[in-house]
Amino acid sequence: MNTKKLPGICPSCGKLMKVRRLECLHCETSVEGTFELPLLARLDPEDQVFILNLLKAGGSLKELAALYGISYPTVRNRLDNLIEKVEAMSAADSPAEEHSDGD
Amino acid sequence: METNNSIKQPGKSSITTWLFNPFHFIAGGQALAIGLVVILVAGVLSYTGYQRFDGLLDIHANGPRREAFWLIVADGFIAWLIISVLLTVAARIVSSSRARVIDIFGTQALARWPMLLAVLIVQPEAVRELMGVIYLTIQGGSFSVVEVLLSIGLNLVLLVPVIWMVALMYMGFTVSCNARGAKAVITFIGVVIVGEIISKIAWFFLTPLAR
Repeated sequence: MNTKKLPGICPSCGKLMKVRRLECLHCETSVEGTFELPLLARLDPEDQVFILNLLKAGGSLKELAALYGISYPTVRNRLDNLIEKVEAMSAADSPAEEHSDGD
Repeated sequence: METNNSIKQPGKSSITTWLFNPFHFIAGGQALAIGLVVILVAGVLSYTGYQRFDGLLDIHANGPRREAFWLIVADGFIAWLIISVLLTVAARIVSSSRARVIDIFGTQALARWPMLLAVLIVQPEAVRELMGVIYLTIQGGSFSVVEVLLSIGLNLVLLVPVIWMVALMYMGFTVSCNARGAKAVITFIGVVIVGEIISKIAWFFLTPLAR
């Protein structure tokens, strides 16, 4: 079964996507509002799996490198690039949060 | 643990990756151990093949007057040490990641493996004689046009492992230091130029000791 990719960015205007409606498929209850997508959910699926595996490896890059059969610096570079990406996303979120708090 | 889609898995391109960026799979102490063995073997074979790695990127015909065995074997180790130390210094300046010294030294050692190809090519005596044609012509020898052209062709063939080695040295630098883009290229070129100068100075002082 193909896993659908959750779009974090609007394919039309490029702005951040937000959640408007959540549904319970069991009892058909729905909740409507405006919910922010957490930063982790906005990452690419590959990055999300990388973070999960790093967590399960107890933060050990050596263990992760051994798991994937690649070198330690390759894994470390991947992590460092991901940190840069997350910091950039956090920085982009901060002005938006200040604007909404001021309303 | 999930392994799919987390990090690009080696697939059809794994052979290409092994040939042109083996550091995706191997670095650190492992690369260092293999690389040092390669440098040693290449050094011994260069002695028997009348060659010398007398420079950071150089491989030259070593004519009839040869330096001592110990220096010819040490050539590769000296070149490796020079580039590794310079890249370690450069990493402190250009890299945003915490580059490990063992990764820099290891990848640079393994990057020299194409030199093994170069010395294997010139092992046959007929090939060695051809290598020396240009050198001996400059010394006053006389050879046919065909011999000179074949010698030029052979030297061009030997450029292939040298270019391959330089490409691997660059890949080793980018992987071990997480260096990217124009900054990485400019830094690498600068390090190679400085390294070549230092290596020439080093060999200027070492060579008389080995004759």
